Amino acid sequence: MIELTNKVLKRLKELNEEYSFMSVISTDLAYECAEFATKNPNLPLSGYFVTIKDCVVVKDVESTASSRILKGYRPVFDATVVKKIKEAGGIILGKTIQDEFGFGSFSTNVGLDYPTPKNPHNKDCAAGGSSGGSAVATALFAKEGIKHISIAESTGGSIENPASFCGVIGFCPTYGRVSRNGLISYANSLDKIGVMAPTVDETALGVSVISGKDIGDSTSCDVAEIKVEERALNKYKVGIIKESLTEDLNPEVRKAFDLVVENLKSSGTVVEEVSLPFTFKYGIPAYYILAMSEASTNLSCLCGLRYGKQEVKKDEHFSEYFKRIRSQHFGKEAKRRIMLGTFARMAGYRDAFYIRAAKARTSVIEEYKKLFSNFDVLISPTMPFTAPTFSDISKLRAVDHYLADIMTVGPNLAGVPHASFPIGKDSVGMPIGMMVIADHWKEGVVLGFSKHLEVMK
Amino acid sequence: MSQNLFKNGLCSILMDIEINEDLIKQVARNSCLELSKEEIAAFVNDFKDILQHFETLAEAPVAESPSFHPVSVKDNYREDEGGKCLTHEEAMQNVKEESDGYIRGPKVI
Repeated sequence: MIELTNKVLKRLKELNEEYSFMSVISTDLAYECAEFATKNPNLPLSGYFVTIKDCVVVKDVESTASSRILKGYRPVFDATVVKKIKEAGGIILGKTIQDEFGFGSFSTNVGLDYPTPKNPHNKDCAAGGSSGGSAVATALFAKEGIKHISIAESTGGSIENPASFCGVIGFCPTYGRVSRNGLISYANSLDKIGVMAPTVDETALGVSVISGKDIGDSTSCDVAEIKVEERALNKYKVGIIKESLTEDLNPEVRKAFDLVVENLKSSGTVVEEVSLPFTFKYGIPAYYILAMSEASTNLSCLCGLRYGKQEVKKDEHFSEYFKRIRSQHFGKEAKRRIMLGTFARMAGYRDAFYIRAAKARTSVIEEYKKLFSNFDVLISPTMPFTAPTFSDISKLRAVDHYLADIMTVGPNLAGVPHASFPIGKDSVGMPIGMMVIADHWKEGVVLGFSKHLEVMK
Repeated sequence: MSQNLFKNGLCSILMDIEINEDLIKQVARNSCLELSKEEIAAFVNDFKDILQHFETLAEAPVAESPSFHPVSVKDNYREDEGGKCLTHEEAMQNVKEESDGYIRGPKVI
């Protein structure tokens, strides 16, 4: 195992030179984990290499959520998911690059001084975001034949989006299934830690290892363990979300999606069109108001004391110091979201924005719940397009970035389990993903249905 | 900002809001950020653009009760029992400016 770890680390460094997807390669920790795995070969993750999104803390390994303001921060504890991975025999290779604190859809909003991850299928294209580094790692290791899973995190689509753009499986569990203890928070009421992997079985393995009630996270829930559904494909009742199939949808994405639907129908599966009108009309503003409001409070603790950047100058007043540190070291999108979130929470505006958005979330949840009383899974394309080029992204306004999340904010607001599954490629070889969504706590249904898609593929 | 924001009367408090440099400076102060002239000008445009999109929420037939979490999170506190926590040394491990075992911050007065 040590010899294999040596080879994998060497290859990882070469790949990282080319695709810029790791913020830290933790060589010492990898060998430490490999020694443990060698002594304990029958653990669930023995023989698996694991990369961790930068916002999930790893003891003694720099963890910054890819933000310069946290540069140098070496946590003194492991996030609960990291502890579980270590105990399960996983060999941790390091931290993956992301949009700063999760603030992006293309991993082009990485923090100051961080490189932008490149898509493994075309280096001129984005990896997706915010878990872009995790998706790149998963795609590259799969190509190299190295057993690997990546720990990612989704607030409004940050697992599904990059999984779709990079052609891997991205799985986001029910809110509360996986402990957030040790996660550098973006938005507490929306953040969910999940898994990226090349196959459904490996996805299920990873999610099972990291799940469970945890005293370190009061929102984690005590629920039955995940059991992958074993029913026949024609025993599922599937709803196609009609609002996802608009004229704006990339025709090649539509074609790949329609092909899957045809295959489902020919296998005898009941497939019907369903509607989520409220979610698709109001989901994006509701999501961004909630997420930015929570982000602006979460980031208020980052002020140049205790950890990360600390540059105290003699005779500088504390309010000037805090302003200077935050202004110098937060990136552009982080500042934008802090500003908008602060605005939405300012005296007199809170009811108009935050509370109204929280009421909209209730409506979104009710809309999904109504459909799940009649359907086992809902499907839609994961993203309306394939991975865009960096050149195209540079022409977008901030609000265009937010609108790219149209398919993914719904299940994230509702906190229901969902996965992006690769269903094909467009004419220039860029991957296309399909999203599979199930009711709260029915991760096994998402995985069981996805296993059929895997066979179909 | 268009009058759409105020259709249901809940947002009437915002009727007088004008997105201008003064508002951006006020928000920046509350955010503990110092913005350059260029950043302030850019935020005026960003705020107009983004809030115009957000205002669609005002016409939404939202539920009566807000959801602060997507699933029901009950009172979930542990028993009030002593347990292992960080040592003083661990708590100070990332601190660069230290004096006699305390964090040394910028001046307050």
